[in-house]
Amino acid sequence: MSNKNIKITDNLIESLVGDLTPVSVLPHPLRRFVPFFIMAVVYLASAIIYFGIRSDAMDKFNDPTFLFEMSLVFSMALSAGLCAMWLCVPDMRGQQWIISVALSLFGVFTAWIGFQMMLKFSMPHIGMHRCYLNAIIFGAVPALAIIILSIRGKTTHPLLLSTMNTISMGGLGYIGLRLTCHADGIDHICCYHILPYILFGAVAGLLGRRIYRW
Amino acid sequence: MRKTQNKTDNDTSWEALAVLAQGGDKRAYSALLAQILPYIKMRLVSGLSNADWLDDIAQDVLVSVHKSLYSYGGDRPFKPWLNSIIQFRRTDFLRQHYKLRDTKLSSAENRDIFSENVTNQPDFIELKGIEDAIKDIPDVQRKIFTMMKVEGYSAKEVAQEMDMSESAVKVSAHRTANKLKDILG
Repeated sequence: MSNKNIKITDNLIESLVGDLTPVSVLPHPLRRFVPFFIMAVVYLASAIIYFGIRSDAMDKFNDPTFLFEMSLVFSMALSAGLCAMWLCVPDMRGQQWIISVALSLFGVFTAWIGFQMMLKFSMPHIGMHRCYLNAIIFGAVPALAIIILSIRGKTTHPLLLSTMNTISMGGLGYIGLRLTCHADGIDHICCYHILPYILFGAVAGLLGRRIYRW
Repeated sequence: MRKTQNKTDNDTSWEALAVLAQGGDKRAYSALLAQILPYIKMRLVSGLSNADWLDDIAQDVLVSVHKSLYSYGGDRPFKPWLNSIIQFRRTDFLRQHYKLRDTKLSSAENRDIFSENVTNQPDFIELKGIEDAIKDIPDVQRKIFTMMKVEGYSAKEVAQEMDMSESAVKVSAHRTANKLKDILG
C-alpha cells in the first residue's frame, strides 16, 4: 500500500468519524414486519368488502382445493414478507434459512398452477378486464409499503429483495382477486390474476439494484 | 487456545465499539474503523486478481459501514454483518469494473467512428486504446511505467529519479503492465 493510499484511507476515516451522529438502530425484522402485515391484511379485507366478496364464497370455503390454494398463497405471502424484512439487514441476522421457506412455497404454488395449466389451459382472448384494475388496487398499497420499508433497510441482496417483495405483494393481491372474482378457469387466473404481478416482478427485478442502492 | 481467546476478545470489542458508535461516540467509531480496516483487506486480498483494487474496495466498505451502521443489531456478532458488506462491495466493484471494461472495448472496436477521418485505422485504434488506458493510471505509476517501458531507463535509474527502492519500482511497473493488460483485454 503506497503512502498516498494510506493517506487517502486515513482522511476517509477522519471524515467518516467527523460525520458521525447518533443513529436510531433498525428495529428487529419481526417488529418491522408485524405492523406492515397487519396493515396489508386490513387494507386487503377493506378492498374485498368494497368490491364485494364473490357470491359463491361459502361454497368455495367448503372446497378443500380452494382452501389449499388460499392457505398456500397466504403462507407464501407471509414468508416472503418476513424474508424481505430480514433481507433488509446486511447479514440477515444469520437467518438465511428463511429464504428457502419462501422460495419453496413459491415453487409449490408455481407447480400447482403449472399442473393445472397442463390439464386444462386454453389461451383466452386478452383484453382490458376489470381484474387488471383490481389487481393494481389490491397490490398498490402493500407494494408501496413494503418498498418503503425495504428502502429504509440496507440490503446486500437487492434482486432477491425485489423478488420477495413481489411474491409477498402479489400473493396478497392474488388472494384479493380470488375472493372477489367468480372466474375459476386456469386461463383466466393466469392471464388476469397472475400476469399483472409477473409484470410488476419483472419491472421490480430490472430496477431492484437502482431502488435499493446504497 | 490463546488464538481463540484473542479472536473472541477482538469480536467482543468490535461489537462494543459499534454499539458505542451508534450512540455517537466518535472515539469508539474511530477505533472501530481503524481496527476493521486490516481485517477488511485480509478478507479482500485473496479474492482479487488485481492488488490495486484492494484500497478502492476497502474504502467502499468503510463508507458502506458508515451508511449502514444503524442496521447492525448490538445483540449479534459484528463479523458476519461486516463480512456481508465486504462481499457485497467486492461483487459490486467487480461488476462495475467489468461492465466499464466491456464498454471501453466495444467503443475501441467500433471502427466506423474513425473510418472517414483516419488513414491508418488499425494502428490508430491500437495507439488510442493504449493512450486512453495509460491516462487512467495514477501519476506516479504512469511515470515509472513510461520511464521503464517506453523511454528505456533501468529500474535502478528510475528508482534514483523517483527516490524509491529498486524493488518498489519493479513492482509498480509490473502492476501497471498488468493493469494495462486488464484494461485492454
